[in-house]
Amino acid sequence: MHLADGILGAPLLAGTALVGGMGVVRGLRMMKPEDIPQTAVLSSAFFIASLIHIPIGPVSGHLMLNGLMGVLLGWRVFPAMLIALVLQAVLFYFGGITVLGVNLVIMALPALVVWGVFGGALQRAERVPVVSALAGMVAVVALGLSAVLVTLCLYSAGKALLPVAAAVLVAHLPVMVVEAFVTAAIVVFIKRVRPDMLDDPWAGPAKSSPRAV
Amino acid sequence: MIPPRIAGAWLSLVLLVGPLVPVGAHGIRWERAEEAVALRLSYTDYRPLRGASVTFTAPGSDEIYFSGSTDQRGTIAFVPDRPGPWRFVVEDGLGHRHEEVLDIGTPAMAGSQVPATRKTTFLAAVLGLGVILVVFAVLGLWKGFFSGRRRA
Repeated sequence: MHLADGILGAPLLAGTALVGGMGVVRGLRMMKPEDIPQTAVLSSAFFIASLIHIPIGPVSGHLMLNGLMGVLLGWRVFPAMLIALVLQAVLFYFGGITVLGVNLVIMALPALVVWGVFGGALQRAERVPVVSALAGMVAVVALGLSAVLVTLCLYSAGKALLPVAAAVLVAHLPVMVVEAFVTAAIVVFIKRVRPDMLDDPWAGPAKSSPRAV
Repeated sequence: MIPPRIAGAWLSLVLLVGPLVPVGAHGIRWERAEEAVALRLSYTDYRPLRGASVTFTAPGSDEIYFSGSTDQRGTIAFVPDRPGPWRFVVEDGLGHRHEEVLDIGTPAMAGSQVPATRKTTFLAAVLGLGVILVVFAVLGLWKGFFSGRRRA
């Protein structure tokens, strides 16, 4: 789902860079020293997940795990994804440096949205089927929102890219299914061993406190 | 004035014999282009990049010299008309794009770029993980330093 250099216009690049930059600053302010190992692990998982391709007919997609990162990291998803995206662009030529802001917003903003929508419910859910269903929805909604944002970005670049946008949407439907199962398995495991890792964004400054700079 | 009988004889002859004469000016011939440059494109997990759009731009020019699509094995070939750094851009239509300069100086230099292998991909992945570790370690030290100063 990485957008490449040279496709999008300068206003969109600048705007998304600004939004992404604000997200990174907010994420860094939210990050307490004890949060750093968890953020590093999920940043690494995001970096490596892009190498795991799922063949889908003539094309393929790769895992993104942005839903999982959202419910586990909250605002910290922005700096975690930024580092991974820079390395993916430099080492694997996924995306590009000038489109870092676009790709960051495309992947991190949906993660933040699912954290806000599902974070509290996931923290309160106790039964495994409920947790699995919620986690699956987290993955599907996050990936779906990312696909919609990609479509909007490509549409802004011109109608000639609409077939590409349609291909991106269709190609990621099976990825959503795979990612839903992966996310559900991981979240169910986390609920058993470290339920405190799941953060409720509306429960006050218990975990992600801006005061803990 | 050609007598009608002679003209009719010529016309008959042309209609009868004409189709039997090979029309050399519009025929198609072929030969193998030994100087062709072929690229094999794949994703980093080595699956071939099928049906990807590839454009080649000649050295010192901004106009596309050749464009085409890769085959089922991810290969595409073209015949450069001059030596030098040829720029090619690959797009798979799903947002993946790669731009590279292929130095075509002498036949020995063609394809001298190091291709992505499992080993280089593995090393790049390890390098990336190492960089992430270092970045977050530095961040941890920085955060710890400032939180320590605040407590003090």
